[in-house]
Amino acid sequence: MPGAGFLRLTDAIYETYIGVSMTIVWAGLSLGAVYALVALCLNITLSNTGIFNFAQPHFLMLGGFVGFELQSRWGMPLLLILIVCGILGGFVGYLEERLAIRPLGTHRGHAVLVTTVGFAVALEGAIIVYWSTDPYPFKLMASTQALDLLGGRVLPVDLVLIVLAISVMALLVLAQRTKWGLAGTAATLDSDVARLRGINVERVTTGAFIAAGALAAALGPVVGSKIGINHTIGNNLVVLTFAALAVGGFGSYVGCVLGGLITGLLQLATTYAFGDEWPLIILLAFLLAVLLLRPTGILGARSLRSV
Amino acid sequence: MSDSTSRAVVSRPSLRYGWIIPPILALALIGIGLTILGVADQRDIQLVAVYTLIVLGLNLSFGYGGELAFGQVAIFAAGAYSTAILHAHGHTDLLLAGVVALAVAAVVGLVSGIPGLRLSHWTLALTSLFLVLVVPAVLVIFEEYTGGQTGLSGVLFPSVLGRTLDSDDFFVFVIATCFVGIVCIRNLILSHHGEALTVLRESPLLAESLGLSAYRLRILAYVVGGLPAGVAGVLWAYLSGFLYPQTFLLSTAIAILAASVVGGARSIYGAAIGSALLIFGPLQASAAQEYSLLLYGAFLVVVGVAARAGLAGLGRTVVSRTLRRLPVAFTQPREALDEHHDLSGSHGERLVVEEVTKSFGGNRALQGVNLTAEPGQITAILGANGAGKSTLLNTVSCFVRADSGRILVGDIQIQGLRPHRAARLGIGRTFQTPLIPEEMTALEVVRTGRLHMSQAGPVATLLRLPKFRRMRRADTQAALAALAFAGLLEHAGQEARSLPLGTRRLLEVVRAFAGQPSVVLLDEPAAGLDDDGLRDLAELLIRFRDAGATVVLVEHNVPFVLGFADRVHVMGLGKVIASGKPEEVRNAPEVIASYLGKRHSAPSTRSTDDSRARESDHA
Repeated sequence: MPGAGFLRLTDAIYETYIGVSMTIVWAGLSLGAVYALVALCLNITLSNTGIFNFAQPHFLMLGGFVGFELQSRWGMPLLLILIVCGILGGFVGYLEERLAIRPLGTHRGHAVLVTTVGFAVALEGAIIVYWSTDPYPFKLMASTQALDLLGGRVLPVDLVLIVLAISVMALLVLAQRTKWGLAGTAATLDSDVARLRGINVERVTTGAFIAAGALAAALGPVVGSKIGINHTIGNNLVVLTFAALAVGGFGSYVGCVLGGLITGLLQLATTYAFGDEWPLIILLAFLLAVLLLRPTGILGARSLRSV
Repeated sequence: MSDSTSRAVVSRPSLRYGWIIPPILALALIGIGLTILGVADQRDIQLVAVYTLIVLGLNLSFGYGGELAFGQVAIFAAGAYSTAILHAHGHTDLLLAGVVALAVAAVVGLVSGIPGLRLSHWTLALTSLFLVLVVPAVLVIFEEYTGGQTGLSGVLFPSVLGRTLDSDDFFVFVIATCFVGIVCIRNLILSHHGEALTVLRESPLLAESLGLSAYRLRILAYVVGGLPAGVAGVLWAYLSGFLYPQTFLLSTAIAILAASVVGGARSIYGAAIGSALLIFGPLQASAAQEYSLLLYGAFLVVVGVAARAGLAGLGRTVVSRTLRRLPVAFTQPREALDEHHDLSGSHGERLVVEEVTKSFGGNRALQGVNLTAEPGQITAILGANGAGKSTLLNTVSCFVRADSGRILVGDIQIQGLRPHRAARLGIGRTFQTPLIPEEMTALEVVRTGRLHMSQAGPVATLLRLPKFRRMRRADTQAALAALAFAGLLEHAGQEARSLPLGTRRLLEVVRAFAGQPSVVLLDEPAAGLDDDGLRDLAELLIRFRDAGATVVLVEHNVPFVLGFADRVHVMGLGKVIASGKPEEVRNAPEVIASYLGKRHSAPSTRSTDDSRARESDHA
């Protein structure tokens, strides 16, 4: 199946994992942590501006490619790579807001879907022009020495991802309680009223896009060394992260992580049980069922607004 | 009123004679294709036709229905593969393949659309994107039938009714199918179905208040929008002769979206323009493979931001500017119409609200409201901000579900229904901010008030059967009559959005009455109106009352309401605190206290004057 290479377990991991259920749980959780991290980035713009930024996972992809470049060409140390990617991501986020969001005005309607999809496509296109469509072998963290933990085997990068997902979540939950976070919530609920209350909605929107862009791009190298980098991961992450958001509940940071982990576990378990072709189909069926039976997800209690 | 008058008002020439364009173009294309062009050019034109069909469907669901979806590609694949599988079993008939493809398209559309449309706008975009990503996996799993990665080849020699088609015949068939598709979608969009979609795009709430289920409309637009893609799959299978998964990737979906947006998502012929650009023009993917995505992306951002109407919109602007210069025919003076049409059918029913409560979290917005509104009366609900007036109105129209209590229209209980059900049972309403869809004339806006009564089915609509024409004529006549009744006939052919606020408010009231509701609820109709506007509004409401309607209005503007209401209820903190005739309510101490605070020492008449002054300032 072209374009979905990262959805398969890499061979090295696969060998270590055969037949051990706890090992599968660890692998599922770490893959889930990837979705959780992307979902958290998406949720920044979603809960502060009400915009589902279709291009958000593509920032991660961009970060992955740039991180690869910095490591392989200049041998930059890890911390510096993350900082450079973060700055670049913040800038591209700013660019997206100025080019694809702000010109639409306050009542963006359906146009914002077209422009964010367009920005995502353009990002992918730019990556193809510069890096071509080949997949890149990418290991940011050199250690492939698996550890024994709770009866299963787990790679260091997997543990890093799980810890990262939970700490980023905690950070964002706290940030939402700050003045900036409250302003974002207000701007999402009713931008006109927020403006009347003296909230600079434009600045909140720009800030959310910069913050989400920076975070996503900085996560790119870390996530990339788990799932590998190629030009299709942006679109694949869009749908799988969307599944995570739908399961966890839109607008809830805790829901992002919960939904991400569930999605990852389900994907790993079905891969193990049925083979490579089935997980996506089963996940789609699962997503449709969730949307049909519990459209608010597990934690999304946001009631539907009416008049 | 004579039929010719209504036609003169209704039809812009571009719409009346629009149907001539597709057949002429089709014949011209077929003629040129068969005589002048070689095989390669023929093939390119057929490709344009195939893409046109897909884009056309996307325009219906995205441009008109407002739902962005990538699912067309998955449906395209389903159509193509079902055709190839039929072919492998010895069924080469194109018509049979078409029927099967339509059925498959409908099933795929329903399965992905029903859950995908439950939530907000981007949910469908993502579930349908997911659907596209799953296509290669599905093809591999069913390798036995689909050939997996290697695909199916040798899909050749199509037939129609037992006659095998050569390449020229097939060319004619493809072009003809494409133009049948164009005509079908055109007829659907230029009908009450298309108007319902336009209303939905403006506001799902408005659609519900007019008796249309927003959810069902969205699903309908998405499923019907997938059907042409299924047919396109049939044509593609025989055109290509060889199917493999790489044709049906996300990049195809993005190319189609780009074609739709560049051609103009809210247009019919834009689909052909965009598709032609895809094959011949700057959108051409094969010319610069590695730059194509960058280009598509840039196109989407630029067109999404700058020219939402696309290329077809540019053309339309030029055409409509020219047409507007043509004289508008009005043969009969407005007075003559007024005499013939009082608004028959506006028989009001009694509205009874019993012990209705509603809480939002800890905020008890309604704490047991009781009131009755009689037919042939104007019932006004007054109250300060936060008194619960709007909540009551939204509860009665079922936009907000009551926690307890009963709401009766005549003998029918309506509490707990979905808003569009309540609307169909006779609740008409307006909203605080005027909701007037884009690109509609005043007449069309009023006609949308009758959408829930429009009975012509899809077949009658697509084929423009007499039943459809009769229904449209009746709707138009009724809308004209309603406009005449309100004295707005002179605005019938004007774009409703461009009318002054006062006229738009009247138009909304007329639209609410056009559906012959039993009860009409008006949410602050006087907000923002000047003295002339207030007078016109009061006059109109009085006319409707005298015709027997049940009119309920929620208002801030106290002097305005006391001037003509028959019965007034004053609300405070979620309860009715005073009821009676205007003059009784005016001096009720509870009312004065609610509006001005408790300062009983002040002379009561003075207080009311103050409150009046304050309220009119407010308005």
